[in-house]
Amino acid sequence: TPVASSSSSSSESKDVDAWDSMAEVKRSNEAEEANRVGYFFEEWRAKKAGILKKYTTSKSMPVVANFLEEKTLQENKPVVVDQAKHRVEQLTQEAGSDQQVQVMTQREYIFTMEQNNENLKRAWDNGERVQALKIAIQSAKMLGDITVPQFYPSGYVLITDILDTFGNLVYERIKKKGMQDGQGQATSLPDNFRPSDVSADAKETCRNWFYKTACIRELLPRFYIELSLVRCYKFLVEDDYMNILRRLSRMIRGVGDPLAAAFARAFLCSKARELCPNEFKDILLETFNDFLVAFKQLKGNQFRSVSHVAAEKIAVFDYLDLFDPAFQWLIQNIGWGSNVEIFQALLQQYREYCNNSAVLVHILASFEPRLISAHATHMTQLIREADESLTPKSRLYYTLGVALVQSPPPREQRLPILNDVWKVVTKLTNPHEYVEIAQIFVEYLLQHFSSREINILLQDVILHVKKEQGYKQVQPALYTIVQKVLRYRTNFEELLAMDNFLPLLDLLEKEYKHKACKAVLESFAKNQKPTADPIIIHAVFDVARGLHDSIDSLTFDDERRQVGSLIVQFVRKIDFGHDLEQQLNTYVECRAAFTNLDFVTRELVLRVLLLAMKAHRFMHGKHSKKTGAFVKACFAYCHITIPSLDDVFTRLHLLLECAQASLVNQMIVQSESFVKAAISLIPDTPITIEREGKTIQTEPLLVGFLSNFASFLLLFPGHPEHGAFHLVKGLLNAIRSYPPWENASEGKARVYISILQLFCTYAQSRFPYHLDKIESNDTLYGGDATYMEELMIFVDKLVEELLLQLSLVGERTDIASRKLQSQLALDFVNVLVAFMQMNATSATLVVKLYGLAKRSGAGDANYLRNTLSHIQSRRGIWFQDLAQKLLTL
Amino acid sequence: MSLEIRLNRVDRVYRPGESVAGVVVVHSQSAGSHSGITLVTEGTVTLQLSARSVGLFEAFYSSLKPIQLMSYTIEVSPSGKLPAGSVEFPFEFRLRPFDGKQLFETYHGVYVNIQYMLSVDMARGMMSKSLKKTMEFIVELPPPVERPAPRPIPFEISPETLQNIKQSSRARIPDFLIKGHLDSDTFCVERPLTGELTIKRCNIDIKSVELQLVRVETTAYAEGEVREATEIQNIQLADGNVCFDLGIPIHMIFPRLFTCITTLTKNFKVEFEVNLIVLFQDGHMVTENFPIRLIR
Amino acid sequence: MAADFGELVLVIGDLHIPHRVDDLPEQFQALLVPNKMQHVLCTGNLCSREVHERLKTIAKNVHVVRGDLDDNLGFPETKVVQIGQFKIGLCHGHQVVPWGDPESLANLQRQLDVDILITGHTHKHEVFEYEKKYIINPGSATGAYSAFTSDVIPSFVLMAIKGNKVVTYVYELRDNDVSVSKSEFTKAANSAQF
Repeated sequence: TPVASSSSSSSESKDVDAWDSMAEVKRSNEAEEANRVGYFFEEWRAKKAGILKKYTTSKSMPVVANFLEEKTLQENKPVVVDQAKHRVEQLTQEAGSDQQVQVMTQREYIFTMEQNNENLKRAWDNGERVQALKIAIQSAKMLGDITVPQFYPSGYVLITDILDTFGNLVYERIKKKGMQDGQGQATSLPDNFRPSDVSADAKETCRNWFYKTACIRELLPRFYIELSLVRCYKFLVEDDYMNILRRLSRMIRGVGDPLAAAFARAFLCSKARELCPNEFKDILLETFNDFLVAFKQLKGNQFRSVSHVAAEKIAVFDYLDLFDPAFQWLIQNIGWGSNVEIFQALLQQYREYCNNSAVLVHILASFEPRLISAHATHMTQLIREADESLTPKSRLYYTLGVALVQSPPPREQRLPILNDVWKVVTKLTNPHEYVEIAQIFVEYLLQHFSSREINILLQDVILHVKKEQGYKQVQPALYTIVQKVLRYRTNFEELLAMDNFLPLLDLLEKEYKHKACKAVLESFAKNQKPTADPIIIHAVFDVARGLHDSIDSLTFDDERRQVGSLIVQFVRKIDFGHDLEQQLNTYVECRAAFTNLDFVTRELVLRVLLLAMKAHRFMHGKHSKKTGAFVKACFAYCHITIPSLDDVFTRLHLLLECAQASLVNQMIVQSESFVKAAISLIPDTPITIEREGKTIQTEPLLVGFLSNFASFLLLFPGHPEHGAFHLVKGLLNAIRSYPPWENASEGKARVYISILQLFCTYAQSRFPYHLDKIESNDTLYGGDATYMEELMIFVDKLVEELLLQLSLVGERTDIASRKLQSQLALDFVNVLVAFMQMNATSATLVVKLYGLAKRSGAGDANYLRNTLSHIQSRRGIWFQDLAQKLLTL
Repeated sequence: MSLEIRLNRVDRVYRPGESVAGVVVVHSQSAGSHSGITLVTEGTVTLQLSARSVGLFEAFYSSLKPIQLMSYTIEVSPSGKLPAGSVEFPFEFRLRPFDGKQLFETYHGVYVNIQYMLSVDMARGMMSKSLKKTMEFIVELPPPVERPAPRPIPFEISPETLQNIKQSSRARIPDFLIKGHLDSDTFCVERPLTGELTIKRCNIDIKSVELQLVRVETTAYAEGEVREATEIQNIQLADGNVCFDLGIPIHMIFPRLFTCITTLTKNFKVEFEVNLIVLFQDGHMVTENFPIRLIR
Repeated sequence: MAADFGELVLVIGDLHIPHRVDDLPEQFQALLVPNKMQHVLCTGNLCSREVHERLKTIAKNVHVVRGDLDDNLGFPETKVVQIGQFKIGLCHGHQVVPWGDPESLANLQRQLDVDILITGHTHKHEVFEYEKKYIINPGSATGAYSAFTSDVIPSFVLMAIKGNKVVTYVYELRDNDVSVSKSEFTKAANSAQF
């Protein structure tokens, strides 16, 4: 279900912040890159599943029932030569009557073949080698059965699996016992053995296998068994492989059924590759030629010789499609890593005998792109002339395009090729076919042509796609086009100069539109420098808004984060330099457009704050009327925007930042309203928050935040009516209203210590820091008696409150609480020593607290010792006395 | 207690004049003794008459006397003690025919049989049965010093070339032309028979093209000669309606044991021929015969 | 080079990338290259993962504490690191009341029981001795605006620790020129003994 997948994805990306999601975006891009169509060698085993899936039948198939009992080996029982009649009788007899034939469904057939594979292995493991050979022969015989041609390619896959098993078993067995050690014992051959390493015994065994094979009467089983064992020739000869393979290849000429012959050639191809991977292509060329000759004769007689076609049990088109895996494999093997001579030889054969698109498409796909590209004009000619009854030409152009993209054709041919191709392609009426080709060729254009040509192509694409009503089918390809354009055109000015690019984006729907918009923003984030270009900003803004609008309440958090991060990066690239008003206006537009993503809203507030600070800097801290108004507008923006954020903690932080920034800008009224807004939020602070799937206690964070807040308040001037400490008072009240702090708590005690430090600093005649053009309380109330009096009341209250907290903590007797009590007491001592005047009262308090910290037995010894030595180092009689007292404790 | 004969050659193949060496291995669970180990080796040609040719009784009565080609008796060991376990007693002899005789290649046919045997006998005193073990070894003649140059046999089969056919049925024969050749009239038994055939034209579907290897054994007896042909191998060269104008290889491996080199003596002959058989879908069959000579 | 100077420790913080500044000044980027320093001590407010990744390319050992604006709540509030003979305490400093106050910092130093205390937050670099301890503030490496002003001089500190001696170099970027000032601190022998 979507819910489950969402939770699992978020738990996987535990430590993710916005940057992580960016990294993810990058990674997914790379993955798509890797999935690009390209030139590679697809192994046979990778094709099997596809063949089994494609070639199926609902018809029943005959299978010899008593697989093992049947006499398959030609026992060399000499028979007296008789008249011809006898021979004919014998043949008809073998063809059926005495064999029990069972009719099977496709499912049963597959099951039986898999069973045979297992049976063969089991027989071999039991040492029943003849039995294993019989199974192999019987299996190979079934390849001569074309009763149900629709299933033949699949049957081939299943049966050659059995033959491969058999061939490997024989080979490995001989290899394992193929050498003689010093004691004359059989031992394993090394991997790179030569026939001279092989013992006489092993050679004899090997020869015997071939003798057994040579006397199999029927052609097809004799061919398949020898070929499945062909690797064993390595035990016997060193350099005769080509002759062996040539003979086997020609042997297939005796196979009358064209389908059986085609697949026999595929098997030859597989085994030839195993035996001599470096030199088998010459053989395959002849094999392929044989195939083409057969194909031509087949076409020449209008397939009359194929009984299924003649009886109209299968259409010519479907029938020929059955050949596809065989010649695809054959051409692929000829083509892979081939040189130009082989390429031309194959083309020669193709032109002479075939001229069919079904073959040409594999030629285009199987040779190295550089060969295809070097002969591209020739290729387009062949495509034009090809008989496309089997494979549509669009497929050929697509395949040609794949090669051209990987290897550029000669410079002077590039445009003619494009014109050649597009003349035909643009006439395609099926939009799906058309767009599939366009998504390949767009890359060709991107590689070699200017934006003008690309723009023309994009326009052509738009025209073709518009023709179709439901263009769901073309969406992936259109998206690919967008991706490719973005990959090659990283300059947004150039990109947007192609006026068909954005309309193309508009053709996309739903998830593809979403993905494409993301791709545009990713490219923008990656490639675009900060810009003031209104066209670029406007265009990308629209894309970003489209993306934003596709977010709804059902969107997964991960996706929200990714989109949020992309939009934020877009926002960051907008830079109007000194035109701060223009910048602010843009942020106003952004706020209106991107309301659903807190991540973006927060960024906008931070950006606007930065604007205000930039203005401050430009003016060297002295605003003009105009800049003053501008900065006010900035803070008004923040003031309006912050409450729309969901997360209280984010709001708190932003409010404090705004308060600080506005005070730096000498906006006392604005600053005060931020401070008040923050204070009023404190009681609403949730006890826990969720960050990247983790639940986090807010208390320690709040302690840090409030300490920071306290330090800031030192700058803040007292209010003419409400007094010097009205904001601190409000803060203290709010602290008490934070639910976890209604009772004793560590956090509350720490905050009180911070505020005590604040008051102690308030008492100093000169504060350690000030803001330019802001008069703090030291200036406003310096030496004022009522100010000091009020201050002392606060201090006394805080001391009292702290002692209460300490004793409450002390009531809990567990070690952690005792440790905490000790630490808080020492913190308290340090504050007193640092900030208070020492007198009888304060000294007694210090002694008490130090004693408490020491006696708890759980305190930090270093902290105790450091505190003591600090007191010892202080000058003054009270300190000396105090130190003496503490030492005796 | 058991006996085993081990020859120094895995394939047990020897040529006339060569030395045959090996060991007799005595496996024994407990210690004991024996009264001497002897090895006898013999080479024999056995001839038989075909009942079909000469009649059952004639075949029975006129069974021909085997021809002895060689025979040796060797004392491998005089009587002695045997420890528990395996003990090897080596032996060696030179492969030579009786004076005035000639060694032929090992061959197992229906009417002609040429066989070389080793048998070991270990006497075990009065009370026990002696132990016996026999083993065949194979004699091959050396290859000729110089191989004859191949003399290809071209052939062309069409309705016009057919013999043994009634003039009246000639009209019903399909039109066809098969061309080809055997690479030689003489083949080495250890190498494949090779050649090629091509269907040039054919107006009816072909069902099968086969190559039949036939052996002809001739035995001489008092009243003359008996000649018997046997099919010893038949392999399919083409299956179904094959393409025209593509050369289909003819390739056949001679089955071991059932073939030997062409042997012509005054008492018997072993000769070979192949038949190329073309079967048509409608049941017609055409055969072309080629006598061949097999050499080592 | 490292052999001459002992262990090189980069002290850096309050970068505020990308919220207040896009990137480190180019002049600093040229100095902060991989394989020159062994440790990075960062006072926090990076404020992005990308910056953290970048610090990790500069040296193998990177220690970061959490600033008030760091989204990464996984960074600790304080951290104590031993380098050579020196025990070094690291804290962002927004928690210290009042900000950057020597007495309050000394309290923190006693609490953490360190020879050198490093804090940031004020965006004003400081290197001074206090009660035989060393107190360092590297300032803001990007010159990001602070709670006091929009005009901040970018700075960071490099410490060379060798034996019982630490030499600090303050790098400042004034008018596009990097200036370096040096000071030394020697750990008092047996200072922690009674």
